[in-house]
Amino acid sequence: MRHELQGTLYPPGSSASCPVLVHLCEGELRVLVSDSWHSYTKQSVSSPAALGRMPRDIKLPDGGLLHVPASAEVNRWLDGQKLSARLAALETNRWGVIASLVLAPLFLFGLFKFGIPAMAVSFAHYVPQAYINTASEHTLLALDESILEPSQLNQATQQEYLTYWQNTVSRLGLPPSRYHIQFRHAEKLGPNAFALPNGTIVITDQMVALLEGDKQVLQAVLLHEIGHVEHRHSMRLIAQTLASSVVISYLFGDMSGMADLFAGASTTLVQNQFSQDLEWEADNYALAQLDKLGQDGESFALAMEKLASLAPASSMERWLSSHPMLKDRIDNARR
Amino acid sequence: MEPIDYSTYSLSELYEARKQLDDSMHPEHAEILDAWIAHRQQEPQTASTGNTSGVARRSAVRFHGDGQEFFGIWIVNLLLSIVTLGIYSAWAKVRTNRYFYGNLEADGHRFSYLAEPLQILKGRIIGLLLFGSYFLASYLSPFVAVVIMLLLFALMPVMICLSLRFNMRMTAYRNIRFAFRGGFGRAYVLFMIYPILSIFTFYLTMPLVLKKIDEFIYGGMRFGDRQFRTHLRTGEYYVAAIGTSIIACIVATVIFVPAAMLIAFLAGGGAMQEPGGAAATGFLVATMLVYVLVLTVASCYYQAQIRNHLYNNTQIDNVAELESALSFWALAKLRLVNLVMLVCSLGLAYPWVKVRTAMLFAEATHIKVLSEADQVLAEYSAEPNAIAEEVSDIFDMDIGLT
Repeated sequence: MRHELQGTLYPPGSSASCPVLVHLCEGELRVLVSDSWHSYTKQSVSSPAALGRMPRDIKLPDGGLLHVPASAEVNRWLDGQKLSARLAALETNRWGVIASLVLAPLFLFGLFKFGIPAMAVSFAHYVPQAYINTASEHTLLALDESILEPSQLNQATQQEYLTYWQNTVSRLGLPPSRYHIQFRHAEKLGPNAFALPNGTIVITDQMVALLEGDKQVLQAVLLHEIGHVEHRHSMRLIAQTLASSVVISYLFGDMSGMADLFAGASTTLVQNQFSQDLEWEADNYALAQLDKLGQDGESFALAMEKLASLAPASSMERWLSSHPMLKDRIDNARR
Repeated sequence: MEPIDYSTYSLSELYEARKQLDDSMHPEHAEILDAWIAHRQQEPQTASTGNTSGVARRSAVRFHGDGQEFFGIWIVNLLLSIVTLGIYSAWAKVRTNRYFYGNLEADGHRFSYLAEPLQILKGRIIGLLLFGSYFLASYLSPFVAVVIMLLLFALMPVMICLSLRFNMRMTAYRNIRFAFRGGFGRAYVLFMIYPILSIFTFYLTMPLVLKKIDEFIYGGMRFGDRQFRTHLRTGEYYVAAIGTSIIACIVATVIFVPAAMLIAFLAGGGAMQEPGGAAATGFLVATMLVYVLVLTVASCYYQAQIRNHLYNNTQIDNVAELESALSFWALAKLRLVNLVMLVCSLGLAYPWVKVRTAMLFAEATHIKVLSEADQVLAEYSAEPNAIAEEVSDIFDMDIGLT
C-alpha cells in the first residue's frame, strides 16, 4: 500500500519552503527533497486530527513541517482509530451533526434546569456556618453604611412586632435564636423585607407603613423570607450564578463581538429564572407554614396586592425580573 | 514508441511515468524523463531565488473556511462540551482556533494555531479555581470584594502581557512562530497610569493613549527573528474617535426619535392591556436596541479606520508590509446582518457569522512580500503556559485585537 501526493515542506528553523513529493507507506512516511528520499516512521510524525477539508500539517521529528492537502487516504493514514479522530469524524458526519443539533439544546436545557440547581443544593449544604455568619454580618454592615438608616418606629411598636413574631416562631417550632428581626429606615429602597443567610430579617419602615401595621400580613412576608433561609437560597444562588456564568463562558466564550451581548443577556435570563424558582419555593414555604398556623394564604395574597399597587407590571417582566409576577403569586396564594 | 511531451506533466506524474517505464526497452525515454524530473525538482529553488532579488510581490489574503463546514464542527464540539461538563471545551477551543488560523492563507501559505488542548485545560482549571475563590470571597464580604477587585485591577497589565505572549507564541506561519516582547513596566504605564491620567483631561487624551497601546502591542510583536515596526500617527486616532462620536449621535437620533414617538403613540392610545407597564417595557427594549445599534455601527467606524491605519503603517523587517482597505460601510453592513442572523436563528447562525466576518477581514487585507520572506529564522524560547490566557479569559480581562 502506498499513497503518493504532493505537499510543501517547511524545513526546521527557517521560513523557507519547497514543494515535495510525499509517499505514505505502511508505517512509514517518505519525502523526496532535492533528489534524496527522507524516511520517517509513522510513530515519529504527528498531526492534530482532521478538521473539515483543511490541509493537514504534519510535524516531523526534526522540527520540520509538512503541509499536505487533506483527502480520505491521508486522513486515514494520519488519524487511524485515535479517539480524537473518531470524535472529529462526527463533525463531518451528517448524522453526527443532526444528532448534535437535536441533543445540544436538550442537554443544555437539562443542565440549566436540573443539573446546576441540583448541584447548587448539595453545594449549599457544605458551606460552613462561619462563612454564612460572616457574609451576613458584613452585608448588613455594608448596607447600614450605605442605604439603610436606623428605624424611626418607636420602641413600643417594634417590641409589639417582635413579641408577635416570637410567638409565631415558637408555634412553628423554629429555632427562636436564629430568626431575629431588625427594623431599618430606607428612603431609597422603599417597602422591602429581606433575609440574610444567617436568619437575620430586615424590614424597612416603609414596608410596615405599606402594610398599615397589619401584623398578620407582615407575618406572611416574614415567613416568605424565612423560606429563603431554611432552603439556604443565598448559597444556592451563589453556586448557581457561579456555575452558570462559568458554563456560559466556556461553552459560548469564543463568541466574540456581538455574540458577547447575547451571552450577557442569556446569563441574565438564566439567572432570573433561577431566582424566580427560588422565590416560588419561598412562597410555597410561607403558604405551608401559614397552613400550619391554621391560616389560609389570604394574608400573603394581601401583602402581594399591596406591593402590586406600587408598580404596574407588564408581561415582558416575566423574563426581565428576578421575581415572579405578583399576579401569579397572588393567584398561587389564593388557590 | 512515439515521443511524449512531458512538459505538461507534474512532478508526481513524471515519477509515475518513470516507475512504469522499462529502462532496457526505452533507454532514450528514461533519459528524457530523468531530465524532466531533474528540471521539475529545480523549479522550487529557482522560484525562491527569484523572490530574493528584492522585488516586492503584492499578495492577497484569503480565508478558505465554509459556514456549513464550521457549523458541523461547532455544534458537535458544543454537544461534546456539554456532555463532558465543560472538559471538552478546551479541545473545542483549540479546534475552533485551528480552523480559523489554518484556513487563513497569505501568499500561498497557511497560518497555524499550535496550542495543545491539555495546555488549555490546565489553564482553564486554574482559572476556574481562582474565579471560584474570587466569587465566594466577594460574597463573604463587600470589603473583601473591594480588596480583590483592586488586586485584579493591579494584575491586569501583567495578565494582558502574558496572554498576548501566549497567543503570539501559539501562532505560526511558514513553520515560524510569532512572539510578543512587550514588557510589564511599559504595560503598567499604558494600561493603568495613562488611562487614569486621561480621566483628568476629561478623556481628551484617550485617543493618544489608544495609539500608544497599539504601538506597544503591534510594535512588540515578532515573527521569528524579525521585529514588527509601526509608524502610527496620533491624528488618525483623533479623527477616528471624533468620527465615531459623530456617527453615534446620528444613529442614536435617527433610531430613537421614531421609536419614542411610536411608544408614546401606543401608550397614549391605550392599545395594550397594561398601558403604563407596556410603555415602560417598550421604552426599556427600545433603549437597549438603540444602545446595541449605536454601539455596533459606531464601533465599526472606529475599527475600520484604526485597522486600516495600523496595517498600512506596520511592517516586518524586510519580510512583509501589511495593507488593509476595510470599508466602514462593508463592516457596518456585515455586523448588522450578523446581528439579524443571530437573533432570527436564536444563535444557530453563529458559525456562518464567524466565517463571514473572517472572510471580510481577509478580503480587506493584502501583504506586500519583501525580499527576505523566506529567510526568517526561528527563535526558540521556553514553551509558555496557558494560565494567564485562561485566567484573563474567565475574568474578562482580555483586549480585542483588530
